Amino acid sequence: MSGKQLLHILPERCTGCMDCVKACPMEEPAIRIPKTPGGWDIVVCRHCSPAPCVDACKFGALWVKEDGTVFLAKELCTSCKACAAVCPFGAVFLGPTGEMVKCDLCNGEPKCVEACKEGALLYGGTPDKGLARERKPVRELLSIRGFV
Amino acid sequence: MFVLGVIYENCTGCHLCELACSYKHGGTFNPLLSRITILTKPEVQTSVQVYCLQCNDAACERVCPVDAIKRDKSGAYVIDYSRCIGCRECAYACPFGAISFDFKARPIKCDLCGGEPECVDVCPHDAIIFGPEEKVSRELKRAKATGVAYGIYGGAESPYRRKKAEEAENFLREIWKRNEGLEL
Amino acid sequence: MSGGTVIVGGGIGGVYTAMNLIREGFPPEKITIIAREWPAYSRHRLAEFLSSKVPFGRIALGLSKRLSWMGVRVLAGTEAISLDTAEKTVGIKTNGGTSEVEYGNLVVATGGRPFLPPIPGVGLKGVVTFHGSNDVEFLSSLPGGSRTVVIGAGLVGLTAAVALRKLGHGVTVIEARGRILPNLLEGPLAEFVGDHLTRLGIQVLTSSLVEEVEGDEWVEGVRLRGGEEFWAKSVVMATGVRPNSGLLRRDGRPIEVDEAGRTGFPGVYALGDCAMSRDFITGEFVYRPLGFVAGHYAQLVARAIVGRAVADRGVIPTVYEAIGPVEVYAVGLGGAEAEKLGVLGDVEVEGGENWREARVFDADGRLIGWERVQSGHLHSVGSANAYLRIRELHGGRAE
Ligand SMILES: Cc1cc2nc3c(=O)[nH]c(=O)nc-3n(C[C@H](O)[C@H](O)[C@H](O)COP(=O)(O)OP(=O)(O)OC[C@H]3O[C@@H](n4cnc5c(N)ncnc54)[C@H](O)[C@@H]3O)c2cc1C
Ligand code: SF4
Ligand code: SF4
Repeated sequence: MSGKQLLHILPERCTGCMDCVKACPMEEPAIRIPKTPGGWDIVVCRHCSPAPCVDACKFGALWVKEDGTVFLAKELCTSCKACAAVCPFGAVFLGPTGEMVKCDLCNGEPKCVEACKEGALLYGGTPDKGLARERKPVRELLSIRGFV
Repeated sequence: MFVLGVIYENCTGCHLCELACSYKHGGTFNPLLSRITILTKPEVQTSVQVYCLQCNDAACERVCPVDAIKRDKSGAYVIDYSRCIGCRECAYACPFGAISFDFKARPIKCDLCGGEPECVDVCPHDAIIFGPEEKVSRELKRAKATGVAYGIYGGAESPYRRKKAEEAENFLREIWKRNEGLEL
Repeated sequence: MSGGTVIVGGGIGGVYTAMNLIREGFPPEKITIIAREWPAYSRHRLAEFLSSKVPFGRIALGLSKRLSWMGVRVLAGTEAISLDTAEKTVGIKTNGGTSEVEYGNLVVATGGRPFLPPIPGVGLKGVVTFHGSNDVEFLSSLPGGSRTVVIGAGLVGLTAAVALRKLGHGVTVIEARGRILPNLLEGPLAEFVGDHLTRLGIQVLTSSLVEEVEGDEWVEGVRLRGGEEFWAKSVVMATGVRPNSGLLRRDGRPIEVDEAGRTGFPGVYALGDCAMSRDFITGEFVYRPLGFVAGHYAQLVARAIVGRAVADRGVIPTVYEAIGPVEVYAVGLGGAEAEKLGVLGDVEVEGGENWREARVFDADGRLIGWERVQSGHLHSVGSANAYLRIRELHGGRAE
C-alpha cells in the first residue's frame, strides 16, 4: 500500500512493560510510557496532518514524507523547541544533549509495534477500519456473540 | 433528541448501509469509507453494527486537543475539518471503534446525516432505527421482548418487515466480489 | 560580485537565510557569509551542552558544513566593521587586515550581545554571560561544588541555573523584578516554577537588586541593595540581550524592518537578534530575540531576495523549555507583553496538583496567549488549540 501508514495507539491494552521503549532504535527513545491513575499512557508522535509542529518549525526541519510520516531532520533542527511548544501531546522530546527527539516510524517498520506483545501499538494503511474490530467493548460484544 | 439504534438480530450483514453511507459522504461506494461498520462472521452467521452512539459527554469530544469535535443541532458530534489536525486521538478514545480513517488518514465518523440518516433508509431489515430517544428505546425493548435482539433466540416471529431481501443479497454478492480480501 | 548576496553573521539567522536562498533557487556560489565565529552553532543547546558535557560537535549546526560544501563562500573569522549603502560595500576585518566586499543584496544577521547592567564589578574575572560556547567552556571548567550566582531569572538564566545545579554546584538566582520569568509567565505559574527550583536546591530571590559584584581580581561574591551578601566563585549575568545593530545605526536600538525584513536602505535586509520583528497578534513591530523569529525571517528575506512576493502577518511566539522537572509552554502573548502592546483584557488562571495554566484574552475576549507549566509528562496539553485559535484570529489556517 503506497498511501498513508498509521500508527494506532490503544492505551487500554498497555501493561507498562516498556518493551516498546527498549525496542526504539533512537539514542533517546521517542516513545514514553508514563503511568496514569487509570493505567499506562502511550506518548508517541501521532504523525498528524496537518501537523501543528510542521507549521511551527521555521527552520524547515520538520516535514511530511510521502507515506505520511512527520519527519524531523536532525541536521536542520536548531532545538528552538517551537515544535515542542505546539505539539498537543508533548511527543517531541527535548533530549539530554539538547537535541530534539521524535518518532520517525523507523522508515515504515516501527520496532515498537513489533515489540509490543499486547497489541497496544498497531500499524496499518489507510483507509482503516481496524479500530472497529479492536476496541474493547466491541470485542466483549463479539466474544459474547461467539466471534472470538 | 433523536438517536440511532440497532437491532443486531435483524442485521444480515448485507453491507448496504456501508455503501449508502460512503456514497452519501464521499460520492463513492466503498465500505471502507463508511461511518458505520458491519462486522460479519459467516461461520457463525452473525453480524454486528459498529456505529457512533453519539454519547453524552463523549470521549471523542473530550480528548480532541483542538476542540474540533462539536455537537450539532441534530445531536451528532461532527468533526470540523478546518480545525482537525489529524492526530486521530478521537478514534483511539472511542470505546466502540466508531471512528475510522479515510484515504488521507483523516478521522471520519457518523454525523447522523444532519438528521436524516441514510443507513436507516436503506436498511432492508429495519436493523437500524432512528427517532426520538424514548421511541427508539421502546422499539429496542420491543425487539428484545419479541426475542429478536441481544441473542435471545426462539422468541416470537419478528414484527419487523423483511423488505427487499433479494436485493440486499445481490448487493452483498457484488460487494464481496468487488472487495476481495475484505475481512469484514 | 554585484548581484551576489552577502550575509553578515554566521548565526542561526545568517545560516538559514543562506539555506533558504538555495532552496529558492539562488546559486550557492553567489552567497558570501561573513562570520566572526564558524562553524555556526545553536545557542538553544547551550544549557544541555553545559550539563551533559557533550562535545562541541553536537551543538554545531550540521548545516554550516553543508553550506560550504555546496559552494557558499564563507569568510570565517572575519568581522564586518563598516557599511557603505551608497557604494554597496561592506568593510571587513580579518586578522590580516581590512578590505571591502561588494554586495547586490546584504543581509545583516549580526545577532545580539548580552546586556550588562552598570553594576560595579561586572568586569571582574569569573563574571560571565550565558550566550556563547566560550561562556559554557568557562562554566564547565569550574570545580564541582562551587558556588555560582545567576543574575536574571529569564529563560536563559534559569536554564543556566538548572544546568549548573545538575553539575553539582550551589546556585543562587537573583531577580530584580517581583517574580521569575516575568516577561513570559503570569504570577501563579512563575511561583510554581520557583517552588520546583527550590526543591532542586536552587535558591531563588526575587525583588532583589544587585548593588555590587565584589572581589579584587576574581569575583568573590555579590552584595544586594539591602546589604545582604552571597559569596560565589562565579557570576552568570543573564540580564537580557541587546541588538548588534552598529552597522546600520548608532543608538544601539534594534534595526527597523518591514514585513519582509527590508531595512530603509536599498538591498539591505536585517533579521534575528539585531532587528525588530512583527508580532502576529497585533501586527506591531517588536524586539524579540528568539531563535524561531530569526528562522521565520530567514524564510521571508530569502523569498524577497529572489523576487517572490512576501505577504506576512508576523510571528506567533511558541516557547517551550524544560526547567528541571518543570515543562514551560507559552504560546502567543504573555500578560506583560500584552499589556505593553495595549491589548490586555482578562487573564484566567487555573491549576491542579502538578500543573498550572493561564489564558490571556484581549479586550474583545479573544484568546491571545496561553501558558502552562507542569511537572511530569501529561498526556495532552492545550498548546495546539491555543496555537490554532491565535492563528485563526487573522484569517484561519493555510491548508
Ligand atoms: C542560552 C540561550 C538559550 C536560548 N534558547 C532559545 C530557545 O530555546 N528557543 C529560541 O527560540 N531561542 C532561544 N535563544 C535565542 C536565540 O539563540 C537567538 O534568538 C538566536 O540565536 C538569534 O540568531 P541570530 O542569527 O540573530 O544571532 P546569533 O545566533 O547571535 O548570530 C549572530 C552571529 O553573528 C556574528 N557577528 C556579529 N557581529 C558580526 C560582525 N560585525 N561581523 C561578522 N560576524 C558578526 C556573531 O559572532 C554570531 O555568530 C536562546 C539564547 C540563548 C543565549
Ligand atoms: S510531533 Fe506532535 S504535533 Fe507533530 S505530528 Fe507528532 S503528535 Fe502531531
Ligand atoms: S526544535 Fe527543531 S524541529 Fe522543532 S521547531 Fe525548532 S528547529 Fe524545528
